[in-house]
Formats: sequence, structure tokens, C-alpha cells
Amino acid sequence: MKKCLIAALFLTSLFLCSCSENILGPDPANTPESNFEILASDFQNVYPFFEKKGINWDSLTYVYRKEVNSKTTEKELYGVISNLISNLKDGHVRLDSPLGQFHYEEYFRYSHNFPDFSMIQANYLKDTKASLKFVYGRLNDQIGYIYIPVFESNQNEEGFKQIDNVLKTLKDMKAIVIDIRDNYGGELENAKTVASRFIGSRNLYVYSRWKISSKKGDFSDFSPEYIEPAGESVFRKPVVILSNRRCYSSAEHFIFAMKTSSNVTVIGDTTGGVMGIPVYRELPNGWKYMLPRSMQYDKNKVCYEGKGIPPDITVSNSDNSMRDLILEKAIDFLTRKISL
Amino acid sequence: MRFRVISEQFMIKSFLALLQAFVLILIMTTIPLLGQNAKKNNISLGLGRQLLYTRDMAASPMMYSGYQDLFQINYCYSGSTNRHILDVSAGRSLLGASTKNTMTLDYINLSYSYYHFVTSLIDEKLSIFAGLGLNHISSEKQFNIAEGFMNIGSFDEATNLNLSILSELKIASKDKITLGIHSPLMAYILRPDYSLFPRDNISKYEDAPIRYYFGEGKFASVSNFSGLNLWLSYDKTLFQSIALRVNYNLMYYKIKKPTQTGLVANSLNLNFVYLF
Repeated sequence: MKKCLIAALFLTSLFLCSCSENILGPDPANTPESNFEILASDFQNVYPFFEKKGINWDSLTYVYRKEVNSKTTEKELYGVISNLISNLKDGHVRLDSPLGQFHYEEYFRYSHNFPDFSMIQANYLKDTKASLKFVYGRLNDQIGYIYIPVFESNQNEEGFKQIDNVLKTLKDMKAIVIDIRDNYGGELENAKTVASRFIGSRNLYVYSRWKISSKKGDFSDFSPEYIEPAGESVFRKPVVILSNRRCYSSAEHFIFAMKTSSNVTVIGDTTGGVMGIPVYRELPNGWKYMLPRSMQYDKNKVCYEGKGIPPDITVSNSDNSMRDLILEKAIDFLTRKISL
Repeated sequence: MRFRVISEQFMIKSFLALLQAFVLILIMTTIPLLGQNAKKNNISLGLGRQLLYTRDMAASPMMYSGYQDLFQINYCYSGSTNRHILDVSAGRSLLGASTKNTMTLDYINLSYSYYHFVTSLIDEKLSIFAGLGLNHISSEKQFNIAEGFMNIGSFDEATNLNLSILSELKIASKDKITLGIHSPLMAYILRPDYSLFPRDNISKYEDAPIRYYFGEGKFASVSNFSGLNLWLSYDKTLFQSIALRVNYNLMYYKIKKPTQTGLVANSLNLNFVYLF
């Protein structure tokens, strides 16, 4: 009797364990139609910029859905989805698959406005040094230069805290140029780490709004975010930021944060205009896609998505020139400012 | 850009807070009962494995599954007409999906149940109890879908009041089989907003999770929070004060809004029970 009961107990446990997988329901089907519809539906529910960009997603998905059926090959599906999401013209929208990666490349059609860095190093920079995340030196005896190619840290956030050592080296400078041209972003916290060494007080620098339901236009209230001084010392002398079209995402947040300080001027070209906070999701076939889930606004509640942040002083480089006219303008601007 | 990932320190802090709550409740319930009758209390420490399935639509439509090492503490007071049972279990695991992506799941389950004797059957060998229980589940996930930094962190917390039924079958003078079932009646849940929590809210959650939980959580009926907790255990008394318990537990819950998530946990534990 006792043995029977224990055996029944064991078998009941085994049975419950084996059927528990079904409690949450099966995974969605891995078919071309299912993969397409999951992606389309996710964008419909979450993508925040449809209204702002005047995009009718229902119509687009209706058109592209017709191209997908059970016989659609992976290559064809990749093409259809890439074409569909290209309509969003958004740097935070990507599709990663074994067949390739689709991302919006419009920024690369604009004038680059950033010469090869080795040219800057050779023609303009003295005493060049490099740390994990920065290349820095002097442009002359009065103006320092910091190049930040990206705000990605790859799990080494400490790299950006080395800004304190950089500023220690440049402490005798009367002004600094921060070059973030071609900086495509990275972790927002890293942009804030650097910006916090250039501002004098706690300032509101950006607002966020989040989708709170799948309904169109259903967003959270404006949620303010702040930047405050940090680090071993704060550089409060004139600063120029150099920007171009390939400067977007966290790099644009960096500009928002830096612009809360009155001694910061942006020179160069308009930025890329990529204002959402993105995340990656996945499809049953293993492909991954990225989409933004929130809208960011500057302190005046202006959203620059798709438009980009205009510089204070617009300067364009001739792409064939061996001179960096944007950097030269920054040197000229700061030299005059220092002498005042 | 990325969210701050809910930190390991935070998980340790949460676990210690829950453990403190457990010890406090244990002391509060044990002291009045001590001295009433010997061997009516037992406390057990268990180690085991847990097979988990979870799906969180805030991050992925795919189900993630895998095994987790589980640590469990259990206290039980057995009165002539009632039972008090306190239970804490926790674990961390790396789960995988059919897409080959992974996620890290941290999981804490704390429960207290009171049962009152209802009836006995089969020559008083089978005792049936019914009562109410409180159960708190905390589940935190960090998805590893992208190689870079744009992965989703998601979490949910739920405290539920549940209807509890317990049956104990004596199969020898000192051995017994126990079957327990909890079914939630209502819950208080904390779940990320439709997309994700805004960054400043994640910071608030990390800094003061209990205050944040009670400030931002919402009551949910069974239409938004459903679940079941079922366990089967076999206790074998080895010595006067020592017993061994083999425990199988099936627990699941689902939260439907604002984005659906659910978790199914099958655990098998071996517990060392101290009777006093």
C-alpha cells in the first residue's frame, strides 16, 4: 500500500511536470506569415513615431503582407520586411538576420563633414593621447581637443570615467573642442557621464514619453530627466561641440545635456535625428529586430526625430578638402571668445 | 542607449529583505506556539532543481525554459486543528528559447498559509484542511537577445491572497504524504508599463523597491492574475527530531496586463527537516 502510494506520487509529479510546458501555450509558428505578422503587429503596438512621421502602418503592412505566403523564402522575407521598415526612416530600426542586416542609411548620403581622423591628428592636433574611449590633445596653447567616437562601452563603463583624467591633462586649456562627429551613440549613461563634467548645476535636459497602450497616440506624460555635475572637477570654460549628420542617438542626448550650459556652442552640421530609446526583440525564426519604444524631447519639449538637432553655427566641409573647415571654425570661434 | 539592468546587489538585497520578513514572521508565529506541545513545529532546509518555463511579451513572444538550482526554507506548525506554513524559495537561472537566445531569471517566492481542519477520512488517516494564504512572487528577467547593450530588462512582482487546501495522509506511524493547493483570489501586482519602465522609475524601484511596489502597484482580480500552486510531499521520519522530505511543487501564474507574462515552475527538492 505504502509503496503504491509513493509510486502514485512519483507518477503524478512526472505527469504534471511533463504537461506543464503547455500551460503558457505554444510558441508562435515559425512560418513566413507568422514572422511577418509578429513584427508588423509589434511595430503597430509599440513604435512611437507613426503620427509624427505621418505614416499609416496599417496601409503599409496591408501592401507588404500580400507579398508573403507560405512559400516565401527567407531571402524574400528579408527583402519584404526590410522594405517595410525602411518606410520608417529611423536609425533605431534594424533587422538582423543570417542573410544580412538592414538599417536605415540615409545619414550616409549627406555630406560627411568629417575628414579621416588621422588627417585631424596630423594637421591640427598636438600631444595626442588616447585612453579607452577618448583621443585627446591640444589644438594650440589655449584650446584642447577631445574626440569621442562612440558612447558604447561594451560593459566597460569605467572607460568613460577616464574623462576625469582627460580633463586633468587639459586643465590649463582656456577652451575645449569636443568632437562627436560620426558618433552613432551607445549607452545613454556614458553620454551623461561625460556631460556631467561640463555643467555647473543640476538641469533638466530631456523629456521622455512612453507608449502606455497599443492605442494610437496613447503616451505617458512628459517624464523629465536631469543631468547634474559629477567627477573630480568640472570644466566651466567655453566648449564647442562638433556635430554632423552621422551623429545620433545618445550623441544627440549628449548635445541636449551639454546645451543646458550657457558656455557650450554646437558647430557643424545638423545631427541625424534619432530620438527614441531602442530595444531588440526577436522573431520565431531567430531573426532580431530593433525598434524604439519611447520619444525623447529637448528641454523645450521639441522632438527632433527625423529632423536632427541644428547646430548653433552651421559649417560644411568640402568632402574633397584636406582641411577640416568645421574644426577651423571652432578654433576661430573659441579664440575670439577667449580673447574677449 | 540602455536601461540600467536590475542589479545583482538589488537581488541580494531583496532576498535578504524577504528572508528577514520570513524570520520575523517565523518568530512571531513560533513563540506563542512553543511550549504547547513538543514536536509540533518543524523547520526544513531544502535544495533542489527547478524546471522553469516563462514568457514575457514585454520582451519576446517566445517561451524560455531551463533548469534552476533552488534553495528553500520551510517552517510548519502542526496544531491539532490547524496548520501554519511559511515557505521561502529563491534561485537564479539562465533560460533559453528555440531562437537560441537566452535570458537570466531571478526568482523569489515567499508564502504564508493558515489552514483549519475540516474533516478526516479513511479511519482518520486522511486529514483535510482549508484556509487562506498570502504569497509573494518576484521575478526579474534580463534578456540577451542582442549582442550589444539594447537588451530588455523586465520584471514583475505579485502578492496574492489565495484559497488554500491541504490534505495529509498518514501512511505509517511517522510517515505522511501531503497534497496542497493554492489558488489566487486576488492580487496586488507590479508590472512594467506597456513598453518598459521609464529609466527614472527603474532607479526608484532599485533604490526603494518596497516603497515603489506599494506606490506603483495595482490590484488585480483573477481576470488579470491567475495561477495555481500545487505541491506533493513525502515525509519520512528518520529519528526523533529529524525527517527527510521529498517535495514536488508545480507553480504557475499569468499576468495579462499591461503586457502578458507568465511563469511555470516545477521543482523537486530534498529537504532536511528538524522537528521540535
